[in-house]
Amino acid sequence: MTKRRSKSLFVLFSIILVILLIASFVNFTYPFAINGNFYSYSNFVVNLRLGEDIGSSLRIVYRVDLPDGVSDTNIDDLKNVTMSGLKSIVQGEGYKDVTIAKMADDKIVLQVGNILSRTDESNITYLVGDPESISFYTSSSKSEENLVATSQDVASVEVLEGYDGSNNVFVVEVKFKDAEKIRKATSSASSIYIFFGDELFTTSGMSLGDGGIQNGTIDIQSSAFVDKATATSYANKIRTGMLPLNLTAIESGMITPSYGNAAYVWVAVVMALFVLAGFVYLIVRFRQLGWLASFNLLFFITISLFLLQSIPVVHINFSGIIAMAVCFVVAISTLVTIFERAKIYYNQDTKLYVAMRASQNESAMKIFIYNLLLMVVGFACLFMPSMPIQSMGWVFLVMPIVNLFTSLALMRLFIAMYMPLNNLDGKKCNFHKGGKNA
Amino acid sequence: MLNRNFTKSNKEYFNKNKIALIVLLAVLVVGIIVVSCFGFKTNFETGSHTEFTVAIHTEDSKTIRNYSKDIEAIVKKQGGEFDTISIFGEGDNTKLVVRYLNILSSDKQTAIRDEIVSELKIELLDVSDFSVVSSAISANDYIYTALAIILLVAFASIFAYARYNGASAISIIISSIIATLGFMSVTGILRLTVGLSYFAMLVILNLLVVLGQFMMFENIRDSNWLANKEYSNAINGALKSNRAKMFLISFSLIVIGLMFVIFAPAALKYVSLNLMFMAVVLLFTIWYVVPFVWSVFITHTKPRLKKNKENKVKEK
Repeated sequence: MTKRRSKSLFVLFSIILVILLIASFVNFTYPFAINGNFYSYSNFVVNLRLGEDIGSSLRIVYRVDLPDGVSDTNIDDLKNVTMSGLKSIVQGEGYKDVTIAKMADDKIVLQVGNILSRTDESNITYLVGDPESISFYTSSSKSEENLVATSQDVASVEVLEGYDGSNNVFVVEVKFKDAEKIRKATSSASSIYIFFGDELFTTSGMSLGDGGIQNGTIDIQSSAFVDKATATSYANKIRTGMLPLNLTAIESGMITPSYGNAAYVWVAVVMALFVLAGFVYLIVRFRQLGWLASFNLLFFITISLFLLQSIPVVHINFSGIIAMAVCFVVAISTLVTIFERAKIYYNQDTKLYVAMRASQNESAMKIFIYNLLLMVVGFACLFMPSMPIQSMGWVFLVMPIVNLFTSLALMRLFIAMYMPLNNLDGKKCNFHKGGKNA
Repeated sequence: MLNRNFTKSNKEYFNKNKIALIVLLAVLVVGIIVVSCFGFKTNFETGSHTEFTVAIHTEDSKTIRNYSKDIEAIVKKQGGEFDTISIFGEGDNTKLVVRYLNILSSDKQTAIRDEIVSELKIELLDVSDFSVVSSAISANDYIYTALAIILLVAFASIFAYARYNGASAISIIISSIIATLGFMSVTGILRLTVGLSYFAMLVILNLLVVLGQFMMFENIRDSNWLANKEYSNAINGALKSNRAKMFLISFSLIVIGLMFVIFAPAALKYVSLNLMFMAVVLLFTIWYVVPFVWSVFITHTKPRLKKNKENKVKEK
């Protein structure tokens, strides 16, 4: 590579890096208006979905009561069913970091992490903020003679997907425990009206599907079901009406991280210092190659942050942060592995560029194995229901892939760019110490 | 130093490192006794605990933060294993949620309430009843953590057997078991708090123990095959350089933990202490356990690498 080409490539990659760094760490308002509105940009770090341990979460405290007419003495079992039902409903909406616990004798407390915006907060509050018992009527006015079924009659609620020749069609199917009873109750009905408590839930544009209310099931279609997510939300809302205990929200709101009010600030500060220490180590040990490695690691960090905030299911708990630190250490180790081997070759009277190229080629397998181990752990952790383990799993899956790209592909390019500028001098990389070239 | 002159070198190695190995054995025995008698010390994520809320009738965020600090000082003074304070809600509905690691006695609850009422401006505050909150952790968390570790170790040992030799595979299995038990023992003996992130740290510990050994095996492979060193020299050189590498990795994790312990809020300090001791266990495993296990099992393993070396020479 010529010096001129090398310099222009360095300038190009520096500009890309600056853009990535701004996108990763800087919030700003766009200097121009779109349709009269000024929009603001949130950086990659802000967009990371943080778990409830290091990020703010939504907390709802419910008072628990037995429904009218139910005199089950084993309320603890019903509590457990209610808690697991509530948890799966919220997780079904895509909010995976959910913890739920019993509080005193008559309360349960739900906490949902990964809250990025007010929209997330209002989505969850709408869904489970004040669950009411569901009931089905053949008329829009609630009366005993129009009653078809209550929540206790419902067996399951599923979302079915079909194709009408031009579009995907989504149907929410409600199945009942006693199909015959429902068939009789709906024999002369053309519509079904769903109530949550005393409030009519059936909205306009909603109709019964082809199957209608036949065979003891109710198929609900709506123009509002534009995709699977909206149909699933609707199904989840119905599921909240099927919980076996009455829940009354007595407290609801955002709560600061459970690891302390400013946990995320401390996490950010400590990680920044840690990264800085890594750069200093590389620069002191390998001088110019250390600067080049730091340049490479900045790409590693920003691309990783971009991917972690882009994948919707990724959430970062404290264990995810520790996993990030481990991945960063492994990223440094991979670069050190390349440099150390190049140093050995250089001290065996090999030209620096030959030593670097041979080292990169021969270290590739090693680097792949180290990162493969991380990815295997990451893959295994994704199947674990524990949120901190899953958080760690995503980090171990995403960051090693980025590391493979940056350490094997980008670093190769950077070294090729660096060689013409350095005049092939190993002394500037501390390669001369302790070798034949000393 | 290890040597392929098996029995003699193993004895030498044991004599040199016997203090470390005896300490390891003692920690494991004491740890198992402590954990089986007293269990682990849980936090609000893993065990039942007491919490109460203090409603603050003001919208001024600075006043809320000041009350938070004052209440933290009072609950710390009163003792009872305070964990953390979180700010819940906003505006005039703001509450401080005060969590403990354990369940408080009713006397202690009364003392804390009285202290808050007498020390602070009560017209702005409303202290709720103290509630016991059960653990949010399920049995699945324990099972799946174990499963993740088993999957990792199984994959790594099979891979190591295929790429290196049987001793490598056995070394991975045994050192992982010892590291896991060692970390759990240290946690039990020092009464470190076990939260949800502790399970993740167990997985990370095993990952690093495996990774450290893979680095060592690759080093041996290189030294023996590429640099044409004798097998025993290759092993000794790799053990030495691996100790230095793993020291740097462990040291960097200890530094992270230390920074959290010094600067971060109370709850984060507890989990960071775990991180520091995890790094110490990692270092100990790589420095003392892995060479010992190697010295035992390498004697029964054919030097497959030697074959590779010969092949390589022929190719050349």
